[in-house]
Amino acid sequence: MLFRSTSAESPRAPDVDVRRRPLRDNPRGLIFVVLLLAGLLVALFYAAGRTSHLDPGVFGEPVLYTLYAVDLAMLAAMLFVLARNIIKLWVERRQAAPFARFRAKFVGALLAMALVPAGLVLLIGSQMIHSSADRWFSAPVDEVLDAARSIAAQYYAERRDAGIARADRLARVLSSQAIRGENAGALRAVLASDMMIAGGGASDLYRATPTPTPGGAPDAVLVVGVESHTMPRTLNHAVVDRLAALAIAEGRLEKAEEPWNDGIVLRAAAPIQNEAGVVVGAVVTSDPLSAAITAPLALATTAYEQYKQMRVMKGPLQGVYLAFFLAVTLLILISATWLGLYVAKRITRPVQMLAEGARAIGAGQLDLRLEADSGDELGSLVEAFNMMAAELRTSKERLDQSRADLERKNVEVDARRRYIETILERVATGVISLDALGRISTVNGAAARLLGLDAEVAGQPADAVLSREDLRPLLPIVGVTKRRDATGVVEEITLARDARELHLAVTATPLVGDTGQSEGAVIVLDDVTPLIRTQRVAAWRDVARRLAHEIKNPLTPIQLSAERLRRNFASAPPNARRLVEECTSAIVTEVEALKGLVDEFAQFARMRGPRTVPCDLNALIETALGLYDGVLQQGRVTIARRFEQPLPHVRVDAEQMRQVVINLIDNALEALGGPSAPARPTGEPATIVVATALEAVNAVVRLTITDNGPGVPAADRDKLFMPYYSTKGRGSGLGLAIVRRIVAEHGGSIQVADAEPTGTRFTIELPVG
Amino acid sequence: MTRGSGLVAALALALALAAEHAVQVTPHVMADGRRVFASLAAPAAYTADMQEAVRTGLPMTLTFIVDLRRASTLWFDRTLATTTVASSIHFDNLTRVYLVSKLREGRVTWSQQTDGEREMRAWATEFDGVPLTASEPLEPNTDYYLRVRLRATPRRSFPWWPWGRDDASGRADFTFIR
Repeated sequence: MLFRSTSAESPRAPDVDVRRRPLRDNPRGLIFVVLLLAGLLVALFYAAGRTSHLDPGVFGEPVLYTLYAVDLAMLAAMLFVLARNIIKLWVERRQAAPFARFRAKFVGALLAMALVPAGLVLLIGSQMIHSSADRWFSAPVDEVLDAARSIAAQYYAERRDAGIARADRLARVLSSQAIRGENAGALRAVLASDMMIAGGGASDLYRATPTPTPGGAPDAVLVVGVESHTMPRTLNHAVVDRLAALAIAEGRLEKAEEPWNDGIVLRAAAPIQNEAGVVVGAVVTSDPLSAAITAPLALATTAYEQYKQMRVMKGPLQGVYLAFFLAVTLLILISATWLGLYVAKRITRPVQMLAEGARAIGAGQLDLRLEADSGDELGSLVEAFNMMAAELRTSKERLDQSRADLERKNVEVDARRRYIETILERVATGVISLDALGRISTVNGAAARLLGLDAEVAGQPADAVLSREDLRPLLPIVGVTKRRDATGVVEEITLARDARELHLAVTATPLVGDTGQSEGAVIVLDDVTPLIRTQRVAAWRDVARRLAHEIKNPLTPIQLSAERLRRNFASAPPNARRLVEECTSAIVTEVEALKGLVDEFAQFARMRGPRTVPCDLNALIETALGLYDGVLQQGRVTIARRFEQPLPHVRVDAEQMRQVVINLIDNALEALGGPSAPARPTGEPATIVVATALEAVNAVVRLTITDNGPGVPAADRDKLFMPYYSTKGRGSGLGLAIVRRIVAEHGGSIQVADAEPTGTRFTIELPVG
Repeated sequence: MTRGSGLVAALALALALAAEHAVQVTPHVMADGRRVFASLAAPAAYTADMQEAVRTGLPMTLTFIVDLRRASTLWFDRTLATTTVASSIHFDNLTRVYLVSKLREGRVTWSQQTDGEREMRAWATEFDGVPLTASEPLEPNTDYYLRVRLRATPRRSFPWWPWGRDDASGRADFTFIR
């Protein structure tokens, strides 16, 4: 079974790729191995069966060493296979590989099944060899073979000794004179007579003759010879000559054995000595032993030798047999081990492959496809597995598509949520959401700023948070949102925060789900303080316009009438004239005052819009402050200038902005007690500080005018900018109202705060550019 | 061995350890310091069971492996020359004659028949003038030794561990003095 990726679009190659087919999956290789093992076994058994026909020398060291080497090699192979599989099992168990235990148990069982009978066969076989070897060498056989060998040797010795004895006897009988004599016929008769009496095949008489070489051995010259009909004619006589020469040279009996067809010829040579003991010749006797005689001798001797050699070589022979048995045993064990591994693999490998395939699919390799090389039930299982993988792949693709859609929608929703949160965070309207239990869920930045809350209030009960002293007016509205039937509340609430009045338009809306259950509420806070302030200013402007219109018109007739009265009573008695004079003067003076007041009202009501041009604010301020130089030279108040240089130009109406500066300086001088104001109680001189600065972050230019006067009570600060509000008890009270209006119409803002250690600081911020 | 007259200016302090080993070794060093002749005698190596095996007609071979070595205290001893001589004994149970052959490096150099066991034993167990030629001249005043290992084949017993077992051995230490 193979793993194969069938998709070219696969993001990554499968971890388990196409594998090379091992030997165990190659039928030809398997058949070859099996035949090899079978052949080896047959060869071993054949060799074991043929040992009785082999020469004992065969069981020498080479055979023994070879068998030992084979045994050791097989033992090493088996130990290697076992060790390898034990280590593999250990590793697989550590890695929690599937079927590791099953394979180990299977191989162990097969090995145990083979080990026990193989071991028994080895033990019993070796014991049988020992006992059989003892029975091979029984005493009767030993004695028979020994007797046969003894008879053969005895016969051979007798024949050999007979020849020697005949030669020796002839050598003593034949005298040196006879050798020298010329009566060859007599000599032949002696030799023939002796051969007829003692037997034998041939007798030859040699005479020694000196050699031409000084000191050399004498030569042997044949004098006479006789042969019986038993003597073979094909023998080389030179052998006889050499034996005779040797006997003459050595002066002693010599013997030799000459092969002849399948038989042998026993020869003996005896030297003939004269009376002085000098060797003068030699007699050589020959005795042929035909194959009919030598064959039984050789047979008896060979049988004896083989038997005896087998007995001597019993130990090595037993060793060879044991080595045979050991080799067969090891071969069986190796076969059992290998067979166990093979069968276990055949069983577990496909299942393991399926498991690995399932894991691979679980890891996301849905394009994996298994290919079975068999058409059995396993093939059907693999086909089902592949169908399952294909189904999974289709499902996963659909799931991926759905997930991608969902992710895209989530991203859109998230973006929308962030957008809404950003809007809520940036919007000037405060929004507080409550959950169904009345706990604060969210507070946007505007709400936090308006109510002075921080982020930690999220999750806290709204009642607890809004029970703060300055936020108590909101509590009834929160209470309303808890009512299930509530439809929403809109109220305008005034909070006192930081000694100011904060006018809020509060809208509380309960949130009701589709099932009618309360899901909390949302409270919307709109800061309407500027609106109210503007409304008030507008109202005051309307009043001013009406006053200017309604009051100014009758003033002139009043003034003219008063002056007419004064002229008509000019001729009246002094008392009457003085009274009229006083009354008309008072009327005219007050009318003039009223006219001035009405003019201011008219100016406030009809103030034109600013005509802005880029201006150097520092220069503009300096011009305005120049108006006070004369006044302040005789006084004690000083004006300090702290201008930031350079300062970017701002677009302002120079005339109106000078009005602003003048009004604020006038206000400060009034607060200090006039130009001749004494030093402050702390001893420092009365001072007005005029400063400019650039706040690049907010792109504004800041103008601050600070005095070290007594300051303004916090409760009066908001009223300072209201028309007709004055702490001086005189004037129209329009100065700061005009300042605020001019600053507002320039797109700026003005704030009033306490100065340190005493005094008041007005801060104007104007946009740059 | 031909121990020429030119031989041996050197001697030979042969500390034959024959008492401890079955093979008696006597070294003879030539003056040139390259050739060393060894005389070997191992009468005790021819044991009774060996004689019994020979009498069965089994050809018996006594192989003498002669090594000329230089002793080293720090490392393994170094072999300077090696030669192998052997004697083969074959007994004819019909004629009751021993055929003894001597071989050097696998070649038969001598062969003789005898029916005397003592003579056969002497022929088979004694070697005279076995030459060894060192790959480099022996250094004067240096200790060397001849090591002889004797193996008789075929073996007559069952060896549980057939490798590396000698039937007898001998050693002769000497100092080469020029």
